[in-house]
Amino acid sequence: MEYLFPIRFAVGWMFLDGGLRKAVLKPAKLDPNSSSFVGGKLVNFLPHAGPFKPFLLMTLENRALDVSFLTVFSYIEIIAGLFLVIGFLTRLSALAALFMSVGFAPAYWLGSTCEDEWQIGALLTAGSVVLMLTATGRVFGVDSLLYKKFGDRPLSKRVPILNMIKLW
Amino acid sequence: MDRTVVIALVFGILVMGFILGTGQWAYGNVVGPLVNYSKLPKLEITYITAKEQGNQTMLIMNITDVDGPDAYPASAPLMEIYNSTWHVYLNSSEIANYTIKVIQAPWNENKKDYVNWYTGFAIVLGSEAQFQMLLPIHLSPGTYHVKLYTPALSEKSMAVASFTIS
Repeated sequence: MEYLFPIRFAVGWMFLDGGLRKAVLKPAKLDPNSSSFVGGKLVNFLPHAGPFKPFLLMTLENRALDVSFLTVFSYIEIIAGLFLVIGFLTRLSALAALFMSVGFAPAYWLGSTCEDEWQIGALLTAGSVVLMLTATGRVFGVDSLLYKKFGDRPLSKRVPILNMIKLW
Repeated sequence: MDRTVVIALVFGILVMGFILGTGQWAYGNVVGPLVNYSKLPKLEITYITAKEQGNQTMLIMNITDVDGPDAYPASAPLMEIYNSTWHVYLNSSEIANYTIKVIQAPWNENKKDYVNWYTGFAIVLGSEAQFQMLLPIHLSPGTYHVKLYTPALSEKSMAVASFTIS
């Protein structure tokens, strides 16, 4: 389990860095009135987005939805990324990382020098699954304290699907 | 079978399927043919119409960029209008000067399509705009073709569309 720390840090930092760049280091990226607004990137995904195209178009044509979606996405990146790095609520954070990794599949076709976006997405998807299944925060992470004190805890004990999603 | 092994097999197969499936979808890297849509730009004229206005011609074209890199817009600094017996080239300055209006598609966001005197048409990947051009050319009735020349592309990859003056 100790050997998995580099993967936990790498996956966590990819998301933390991505979120910090947008929300903290250059807030203009989330300002719809700025030329740096990242909403413009969603336009680039359109030509080969396949089944995701209708959702992208709906988001782009609804300015409020576009801004809200990108803002929420950026903050989830920061929270999930930070939690993975410090090993806090690792399995839940890894599940969020998994959704985000799969969620940017509309961009997988972009990569003018190599298969850039797809390679990033594929590695983050595999990494997130490994972190989610192995509960790596229980070693070198805050989850080690939580696990010692509370044992194994699901998102909900009563709801059938949620009881399969573990917090740490 | 041990529960851990079952879970590992299920997730392993799901991840394998996802990686191979998306790789084939995006790049054809499992069974081919190999593609990379983000290497070279590809402009398309999705709508075109024209009408006479006195001794001038009003040409209306919707142009989109469906392939190429996302870091900078595709350009078309040369445009040809032709039929079987006649043709004219418009350079980037003429394209910019004759374009009187650019209407952006509703999904275009903050990166807008535009014309200027050194790139001619500039189209952001995935965006679309309608370019209304008032050409100082009188076209007699008939069918004409428009070709947009994009640097680094072979002639068969250039955007071509036809319109009729009645």
